[in-house]
Amino acid sequence: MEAGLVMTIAQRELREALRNKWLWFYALGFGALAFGLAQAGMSAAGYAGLGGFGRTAASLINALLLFVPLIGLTVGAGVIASERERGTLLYLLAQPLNRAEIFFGKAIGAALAVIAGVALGFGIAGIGLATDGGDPTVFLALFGWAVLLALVSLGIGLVISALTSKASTATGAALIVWLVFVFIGDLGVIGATMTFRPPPMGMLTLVLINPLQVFKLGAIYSLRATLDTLGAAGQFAMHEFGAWLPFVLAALLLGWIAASFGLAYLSFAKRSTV
Amino acid sequence: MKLRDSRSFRPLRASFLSYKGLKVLWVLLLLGALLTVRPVSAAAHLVVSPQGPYRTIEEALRVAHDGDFIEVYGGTYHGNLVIDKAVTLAAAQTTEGERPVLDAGGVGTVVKVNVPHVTVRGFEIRNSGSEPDQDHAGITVNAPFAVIEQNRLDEVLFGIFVAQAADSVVRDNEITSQARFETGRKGDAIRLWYSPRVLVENNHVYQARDLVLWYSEGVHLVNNLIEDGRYGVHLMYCDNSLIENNRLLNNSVGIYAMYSRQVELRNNDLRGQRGPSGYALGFKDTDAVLAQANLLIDNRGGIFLDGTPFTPNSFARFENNIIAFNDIAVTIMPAVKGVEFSNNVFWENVEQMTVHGGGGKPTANMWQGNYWSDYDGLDADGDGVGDTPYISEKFFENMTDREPLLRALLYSPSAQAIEFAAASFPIVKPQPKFSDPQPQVNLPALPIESTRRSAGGMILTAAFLLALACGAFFIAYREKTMENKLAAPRDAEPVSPVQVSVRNVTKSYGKTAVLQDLSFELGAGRALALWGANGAGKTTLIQAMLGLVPFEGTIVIADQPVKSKGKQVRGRIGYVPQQVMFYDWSVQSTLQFYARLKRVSAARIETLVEQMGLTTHRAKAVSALSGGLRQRLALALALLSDPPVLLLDEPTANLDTQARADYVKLVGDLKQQDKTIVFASHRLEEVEALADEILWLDSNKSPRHLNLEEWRAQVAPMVELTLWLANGQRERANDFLNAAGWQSHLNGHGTIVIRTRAEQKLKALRTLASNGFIVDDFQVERQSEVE
Repeated sequence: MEAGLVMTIAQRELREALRNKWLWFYALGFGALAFGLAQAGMSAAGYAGLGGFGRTAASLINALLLFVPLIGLTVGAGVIASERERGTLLYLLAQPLNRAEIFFGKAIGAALAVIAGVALGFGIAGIGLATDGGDPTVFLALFGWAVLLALVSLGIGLVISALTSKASTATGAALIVWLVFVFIGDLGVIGATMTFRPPPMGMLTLVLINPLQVFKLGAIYSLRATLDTLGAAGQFAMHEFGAWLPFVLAALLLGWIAASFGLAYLSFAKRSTV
Repeated sequence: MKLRDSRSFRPLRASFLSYKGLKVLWVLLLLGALLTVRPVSAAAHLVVSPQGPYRTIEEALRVAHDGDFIEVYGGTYHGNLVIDKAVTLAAAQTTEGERPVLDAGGVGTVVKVNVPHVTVRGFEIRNSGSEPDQDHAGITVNAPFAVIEQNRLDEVLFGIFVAQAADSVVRDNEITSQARFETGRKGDAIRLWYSPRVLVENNHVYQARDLVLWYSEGVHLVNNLIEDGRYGVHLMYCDNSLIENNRLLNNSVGIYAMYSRQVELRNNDLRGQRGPSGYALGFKDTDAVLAQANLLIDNRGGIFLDGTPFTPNSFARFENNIIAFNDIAVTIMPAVKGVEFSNNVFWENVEQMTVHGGGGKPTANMWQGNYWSDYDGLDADGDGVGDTPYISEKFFENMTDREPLLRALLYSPSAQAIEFAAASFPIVKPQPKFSDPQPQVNLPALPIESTRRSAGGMILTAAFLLALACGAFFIAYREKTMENKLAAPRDAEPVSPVQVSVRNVTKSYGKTAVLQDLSFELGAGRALALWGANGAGKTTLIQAMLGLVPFEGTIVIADQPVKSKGKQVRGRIGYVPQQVMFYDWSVQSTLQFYARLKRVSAARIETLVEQMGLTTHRAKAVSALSGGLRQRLALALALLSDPPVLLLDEPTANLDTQARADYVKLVGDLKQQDKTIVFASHRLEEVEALADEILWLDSNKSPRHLNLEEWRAQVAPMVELTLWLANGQRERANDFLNAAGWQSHLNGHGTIVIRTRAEQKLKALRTLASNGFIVDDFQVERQSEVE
């Protein structure tokens, strides 16, 4: 695999992804929402929004959980399927490149675009928080978790994209996956919990299956250095992992990234048709 | 406390006796006796220092009497001190501020006070034993009226243990426990045991276990700072207690009162109590509780009530407290009733109130005139009171009350969705937990110091993130200098006589065989036409030669096997598909992108742009080009790396006649330059103009490899008759022809195209003329019958 070729593909993909209006719609949507929340949450008490962990901070995490996966999934779903549908993928494959160079070039370009989108959203939110002061370290940590979640979502979007031939099909599938991760999976966890009443370890395991929940745990830990606010499962996580918890959570998300990107590559490389 | 009074009386001791005579002796004895006997109420001032007069505290204590003042100068004094005289033991005030150290060397208790009216002041007390069952402590007070003040206690298991020592004072001390133990194994910083009316004032306690008060009535805790412990303050059977103006930070539990009566808490500041039961204020079986103007911020729980008030006619009142940023503001056991919450501020708590385990009656406790940050009612008349009650009825909260494990899903959109669904469909609306009929709508001034930071840090951070987003655009649109990325020029390779070798190639899609045992070779400067109907396998063969689809057999292009050297093979092939789908860029950007992939120079682009007649079009968007120009651009891209082999997949299929002719000429010129060309076409004139040999593919027959003559003999000629008709007749004529059985269609150039056998073309014209259609002009093109 030649790095120069990968980066040339990445640049092209980045250029293409930056023209994806959904990327900016979601990024600006998140930014505006976070800006508004930060203003509303802080104005009455003069209390720095992220310094006091209450409903405002919870709403910010909620906003991230809604928007960041959408950014990753929609961009990822379009990376291969839309080119396949337009016919440009055939011509690209006919160039002196191997599939790994094409895939990882596209993945890197899309990842840069997604990071840019998340950075824009956080940049706007940051301006909102700056007016009342805020902790840049915590804010950057939150950005880091959001980038990891965006890359997980991108990886899952790439899997969908590699397996589908039409952009519309891929986008539809991405939205279904989003629904599963954001809502349906949690409803399943609620049902299982009410039915089986698992021990805290079981509950924590159920929660950690969902990368969005892993992100949530990491984000809350960044904000307050503990998960005890999440009840017995959070306390169990703190007890089991202690100061290693953020590393464990980050490793889980990195595992999701590696697995999803790897699966997407295999799906793309082993496909017997263009 | 008169014990602290001192006098400047200095004892005078007789240093000698002399005998000069009886009279003199008796006079002197009388005088000496008068001088050395002190008044009964006077206190001696004994000085202990490493230089004497007393070198140890024990020495001074041996000679001291009740009421004496023992002043200790800096230095370390070993041993386990037992004070059994009512003395004041105080550190000397020196300009250096050096404290005398009492060090037990890790054995037993450092100081024991066994008699009333003892004061211990200003020492550094360290290294007690560490046996919890023997209550090893820094200071153990076993008698009333003790004053323990201004000491620093470090590396002691227990700090100050006040046992059966009523009316004592513990003041201005700094106390921490043995650092090597985890919190539960440490000792209590201050422990009271059957010691009523003790004043605990202005102490700083940190990293110890508890500040625990047992069976001690009338205790007064004021102005203490208690940090990083287990129970900040734990009352057990302590009636008539007053706890005020204390700060409790980051303990496991804040103030927890059990089995006590008349407990009053005022103006305490409790933050960050986050242990497994991290309540700021907790009450179990306690009566007559009054909590006023306390700050309960950022705790796991603000207030916990179990069996409180304990007796039916008692009370528990919470007034004017600020309860903010807690996970749960108030937790109540289901049986609790009679609690009054009035004029409190409930601000930004994740959950305002929970009944532990669910259940409980909404009306069991009284909520009146509180401020609720999540109140969504109005105050239309502006009286400062909401027009509708604040009602706590959150479905997900009710679920977490019943199943606390579900708190793991807090802050999730699913939790919000459940609340939204419950609000939208009243059938699943939860039972209210309580209601406040007169909620305040004006947020009182909060005495919370802001965690406001300088805006600069966040502005810089925001600017950095926005710059990061902009940086993506810079990377995306940065033009690289291709000259630095050029591929190493290929060595002058000997031209192989065979540029394309296909051997025993078979390709199937499922059970459908597309190519079966196909073999052929093609030398340099030769052109092979792929001929056959749609679906015969022409495109599949081209894609197999490019290594884009798997196949059985062997294909070697320019001495490189496709299966194992696909990338290198594609570097030796120029490929033009039937219709290239370009990215939405300009001609120049498109050329530059593919030139970068093929690592060719900008000069090569210039040459090809000129050669393909694209010079005046390079700034145009590709989408603005005509079909002919797009195919020229595709050919330019194919030729970027000057490949020895060209694969053209019906490149003229969508071109008009003139563009097609121009294109065929261009390809013909390339053939003259010794390019090996494999092209698919349905057009007879293209094959005749370009091909040296023809591979006739047929899904029902074995492939036939023919020369031009053999092919001509087998192809039945067809023509495409393009007609220009008078205005308004085109659609009608087309309908007429189709109805009459001709293969006719309208095309995009304002004409009708009739496809027919060559000998039928005049008949078509006559048929139209005889039916009133006026043909202004026509054009004939030859085609094969296999299209």
